[in-house]
Amino acid sequence: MDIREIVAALGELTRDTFNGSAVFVAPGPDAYSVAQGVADWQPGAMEAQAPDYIMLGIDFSLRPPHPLARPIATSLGLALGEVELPLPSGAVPLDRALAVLLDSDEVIPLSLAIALLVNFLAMQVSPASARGSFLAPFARLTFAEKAGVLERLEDPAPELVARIAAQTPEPLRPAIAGQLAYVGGMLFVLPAIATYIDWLAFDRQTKTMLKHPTSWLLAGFQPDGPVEGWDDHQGYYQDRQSVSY
Amino acid sequence: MRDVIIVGAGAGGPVVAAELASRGLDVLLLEAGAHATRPGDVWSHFEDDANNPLTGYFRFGPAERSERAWFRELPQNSFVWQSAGVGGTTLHYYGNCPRPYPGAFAGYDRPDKNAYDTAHLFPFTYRELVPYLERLEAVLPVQTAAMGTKEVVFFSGAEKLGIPLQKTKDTVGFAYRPQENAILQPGGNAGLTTDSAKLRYPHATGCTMCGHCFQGCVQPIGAPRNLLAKRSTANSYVPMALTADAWSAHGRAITLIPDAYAVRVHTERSGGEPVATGVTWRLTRTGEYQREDARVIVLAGGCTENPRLWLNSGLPNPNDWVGRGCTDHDFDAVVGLFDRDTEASKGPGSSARCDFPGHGGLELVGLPPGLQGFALTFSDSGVPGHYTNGRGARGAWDGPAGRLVGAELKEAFRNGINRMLMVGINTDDDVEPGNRVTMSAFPADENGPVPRIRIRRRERSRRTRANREFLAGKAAELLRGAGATKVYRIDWAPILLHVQSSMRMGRSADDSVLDENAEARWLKRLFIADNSALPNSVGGANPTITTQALATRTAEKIFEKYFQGDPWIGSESPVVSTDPRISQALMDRDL
Repeated sequence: MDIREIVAALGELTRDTFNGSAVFVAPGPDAYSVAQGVADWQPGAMEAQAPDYIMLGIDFSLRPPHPLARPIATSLGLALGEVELPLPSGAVPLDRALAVLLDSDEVIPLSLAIALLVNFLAMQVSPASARGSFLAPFARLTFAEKAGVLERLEDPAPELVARIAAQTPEPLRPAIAGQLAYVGGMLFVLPAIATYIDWLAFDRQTKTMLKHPTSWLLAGFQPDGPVEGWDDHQGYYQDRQSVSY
Repeated sequence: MRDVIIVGAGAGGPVVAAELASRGLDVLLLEAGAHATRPGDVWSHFEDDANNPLTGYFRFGPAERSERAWFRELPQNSFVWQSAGVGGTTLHYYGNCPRPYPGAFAGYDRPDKNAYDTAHLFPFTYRELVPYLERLEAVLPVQTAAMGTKEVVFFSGAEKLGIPLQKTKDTVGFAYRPQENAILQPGGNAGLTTDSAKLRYPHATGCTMCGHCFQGCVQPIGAPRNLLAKRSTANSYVPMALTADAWSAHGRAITLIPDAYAVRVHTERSGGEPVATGVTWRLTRTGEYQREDARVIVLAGGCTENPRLWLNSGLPNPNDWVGRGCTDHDFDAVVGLFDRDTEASKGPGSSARCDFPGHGGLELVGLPPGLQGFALTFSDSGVPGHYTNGRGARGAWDGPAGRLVGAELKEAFRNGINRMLMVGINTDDDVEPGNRVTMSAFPADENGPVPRIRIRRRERSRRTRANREFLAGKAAELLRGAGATKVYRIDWAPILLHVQSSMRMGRSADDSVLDENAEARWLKRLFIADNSALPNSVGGANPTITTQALATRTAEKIFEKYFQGDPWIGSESPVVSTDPRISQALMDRDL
């Protein structure tokens, strides 16, 4: 197996996982939302490219390698053998692909480690999710099943923590449960921010809008574009402009 | 050798700098983040540009935005809203300046005296702080806030709570009121038009009600820096400190070095006791290290960075209280949806509040949509209808507490951000030793070992939890009274935005780092002058003005003890930060 093929395919698995995660928070008319059974006629997280925002948020917070990424990937590898990873040379079990990756010097992105963990939990919640449409088992779940996965991430079971701890250097073991809870929280707020912020419509170099942000349309915010002020002065409460000492 | 080195140009450091500069001392002010000398050129109204926690210009990180934010380990679902740069977190604050509740101070003897964190009171009386509060209220200045539509809606609910209108600066009982804000109120065309051409200074003065407080205030366009509406220290005390010779008869302009991350405090033994002597910092743009010495060192880098610097410098910590006792107002949010306009995204972020001394406070919070998305999904109570994380409290709100996700989130926004109203809950929370900053086992960064911020969310004291529940109920009641058709309680996970008391001053040497004058108990000539010095959560009131008043008092103590000076607060008239001499000096010096 070519390591470059594996890295690329695992990147796709990661993205597919966060596609499923993003639409859980902000569904739209896309296939992932339809598959979970909760869709929406207006644009949602997929149209906002929230999966990119999630991966950036997870991977950019700490200079790689993240010290927990490899332990998480290592601890879960064998349990993911039922999932097939499509490579140009043919589909291979995910555990075999991971074994090649972990045997290499490649940096393991934390986003990949979290995606593996989310899919591991997805198969606990629904063993049937190992196969089906999409790449990632998590993306195949219903809305309620996804909630079950996120519950397990926010409040990880001692067995899961111990499993990861067995692959983690001693000083970092106490950090595992807290980091999983932290990432669990981020899987809600990052897609929500991405969907309703102006990040796709703004050019940082020129400090100008490239287009009216879809997010503003969704929220009814600044319908005529950015302003320097509003005509919303309603006076002073009971005409009081000062208080006494 | 300098007279004083101050580490951190956030809410507190510039206050000490300006006050001591007005006395003629040679002051060096260090700031780890950027100095936006022309904010209109580098800031914008756009949320992602400003507030992206990884790349925004207000993230807690170096000036070069392609570089990573400074990492802190958060071992729980939580979030830190802190800004680096000259002005610190006042760059994105809402300018709310309620006085602290008197019950948080020693000597308080009213019937509700046992309702507060009585084990961790201020080591002096409220009355002793009042002259310093008055000074801040004059210098910033602090003004009674005007209303926008959202305030009209808020007051319509507050009026039905059965509590009176507060008409005084001091808070002595349950009441509602317009905020006292460090914001210049609208003048000229401000607040009356959306026409940008009519909103330039001097045709408009003060707040133009643009709704972008969180992205930094540059309104009105064309105004001198010290006449911008929101009185962040970047617009008030820093300009004063940089021009002290222009407005004070004895003044001496400070030296400000931005992009300078302090990595070590130096000490020596003098007279048989350890004494702080100097600071080494790393220039973030070049990686170069520099050191200077001073007669007095003041730490004002914040509730996380002060303990980090202290511990990385190997300074004494005999009672193990460095970094302990962090309070965060145990924030929560209750959000109402309306079938009428609230215009929640317009105007200053918060211009109305309720106070419930002994419990904390409520305040109206307006947000732009990205931050509102964050606010609606940041919860410790899971997903209503699916799981609760053992929480999901029920009360006067609809259904169990928890996040809005899926169809419910989409529907809430479809209803319109300007038909929402969010009430923030500022809990009077207890100092608890388990909530603390320590050093992380994660890899060090270029500035040394990194901090770990532990907030034991589910193990807060009985009083803290009861206060939070009380306030959530009042918030829901207010929103229903204002006509909300749906009321959600989010049950926020810890948001470190109002953070206090991690290097607390106290009456007892057993549970404090600082003495009653904010000087370190075990390291002379070292003072702390930011939120971390506060003894408690000031009763739940927004902490900035209390910190700034305390910093003013600390400046006076430094001047008296180490420079043989006389106190001046109360005996000299304050110079207002909008003084034209400051404006002129800023222009003359191209600052």
